[in-house]
Amino acid sequence: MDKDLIPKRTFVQKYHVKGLVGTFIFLLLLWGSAVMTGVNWGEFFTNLDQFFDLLSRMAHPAWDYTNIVIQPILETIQMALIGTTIGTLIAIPFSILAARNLIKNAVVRGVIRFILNLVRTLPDLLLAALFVAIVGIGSTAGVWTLAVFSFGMISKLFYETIETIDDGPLEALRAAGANNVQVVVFAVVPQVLNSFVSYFLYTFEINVRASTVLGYLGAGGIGVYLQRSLSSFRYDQTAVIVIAILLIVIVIDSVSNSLRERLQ
Amino acid sequence: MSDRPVMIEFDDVQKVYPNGTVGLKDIDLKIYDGEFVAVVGLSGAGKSTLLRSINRMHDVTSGNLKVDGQSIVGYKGKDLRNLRRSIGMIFQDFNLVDRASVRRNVLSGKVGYYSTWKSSLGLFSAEDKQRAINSLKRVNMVEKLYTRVDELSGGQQQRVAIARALMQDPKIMLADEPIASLDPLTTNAVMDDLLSLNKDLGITVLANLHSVPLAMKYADRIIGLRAGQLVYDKPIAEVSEDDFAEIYSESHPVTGGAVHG
Ligand SMILES: Nc1ncnc2c1ncn2[C@@H]1O[C@H](COP(=O)(O)OP(=O)(O)OP(=O)(O)O)[C@@H](O)[C@H]1O
Ligand SMILES: [Mg+2]
Repeated sequence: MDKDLIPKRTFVQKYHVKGLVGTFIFLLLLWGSAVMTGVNWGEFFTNLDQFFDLLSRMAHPAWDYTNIVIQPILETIQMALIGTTIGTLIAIPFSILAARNLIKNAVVRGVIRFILNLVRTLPDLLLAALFVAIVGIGSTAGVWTLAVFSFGMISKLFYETIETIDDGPLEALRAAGANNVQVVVFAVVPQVLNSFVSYFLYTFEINVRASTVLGYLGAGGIGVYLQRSLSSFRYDQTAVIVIAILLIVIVIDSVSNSLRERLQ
Repeated sequence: MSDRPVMIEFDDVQKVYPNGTVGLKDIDLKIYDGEFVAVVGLSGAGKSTLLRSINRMHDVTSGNLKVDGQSIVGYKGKDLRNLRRSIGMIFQDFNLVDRASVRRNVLSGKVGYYSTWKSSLGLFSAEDKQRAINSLKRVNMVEKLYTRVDELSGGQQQRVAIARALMQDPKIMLADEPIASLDPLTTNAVMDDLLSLNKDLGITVLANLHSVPLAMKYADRIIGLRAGQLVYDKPIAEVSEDDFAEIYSESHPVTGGAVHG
């Protein structure tokens, strides 16, 4: 009788049909995209020589170049900081208006979310090119790029956080005669503050990394120097820049990580 | 009791939820100033709906509802907030902000009396800061002033919630199953606190309770709901244990409940 208690697997379950089909489709897609983009594996590996050649030329960094990079590195960090801050400040009201538990009006929420989705589809490099065209070459373009990019990312993280809070305190504040702003200040903010700070730091980390590249498009910061050294084949200078970027990113990531851990 | 002024008056109140569920049906009820009324009934009988219609956390569908002589059914905006700030409410799950200090939670009870910007900047008057301390003293929680709420036990949290409601200087206290999440010992502490607000401060108390013995121990009057209807209403002196079998029975509507008032 006991044997009858063991449920029978269906054919699909027994032969892992779903897993096998999924794997097959994935391999097919991989092969398809390799063919379509014309990836030439042979070429990929013969070019490795060039890669090692580059590495060997970078093996002797021009250390005296360090003094020159410090200023643009700082500029990069400032760009990231200001951009992230502006983006966050704009994201706060938007995330409140997009949160289901705060805004009962589905139309308002829908419009706001549509705008946010739209902003998030813009790649940061496209934004950089756009802002360089609008405000001209320099770090202002970088700041605006990062601001828009952070705004899109942070507002989504923020409104999703708001939607996970306990609604009890909101009800209590409303029942005590609080207006909407007071409900947000006294019942929402204390529940989301730590997560918000944590997401701010996380976005800042991403922006420091992103802003090193933006210079390539003329949006200021260390990227400008990176591009200059590469196009003038001064790989010894490139090496210094790469090392500096690496150090800065590691320092900022670990500082912000430990801060975020403390916020948990 | 009927020599006292009427504090809350339901006049043929109906409540139908948008999905068609009947919350309240043909409610006629007068609650007098200074009464301690226990509301009993099965789960889903409409106890929470009754309480929440008094501070308009729920709107009624038809009928009239007066608080302190004023009809409240049409209140909007500022009028509605002024009504709510004059009525304290405590909840089964306390509804405190866990991550904030006891002090901040208690002070937040007073925001209905402040402008948006003053309260947002935390600019509470010295008088209200003192009031927060006094409210906490009343529920024996003042030594936890700077403790974070998530470090308190359930019973302590409910007492903090009472202190928060006291900040409002309420005429009425609505308690929606205030002790349902508590153990028997803390239950008594919380109920004693409610009783002292009622007896010492003269606050009218309306409490939904699941426990008949507690209702009999603390209330001046017990009302019973069943499927949204008022089926029982007696001063405590006339209440007998046998009455509750009828309120809590699953079938035949009760007909014998004397509706006084
Ligand atoms: N927001 C709502 N939408 C639709 N129906 C609701 C809503 N809130 C309550 N109801 C229904 O209205 C009826 C009365 O609910 P209410 O919460 O007032 O009961 P209660 O007596 O407080 O019950 P409990 O003891 O379980 O808290 C129930 O049938 C309930 O399902
Ligand atoms: Mg209820």
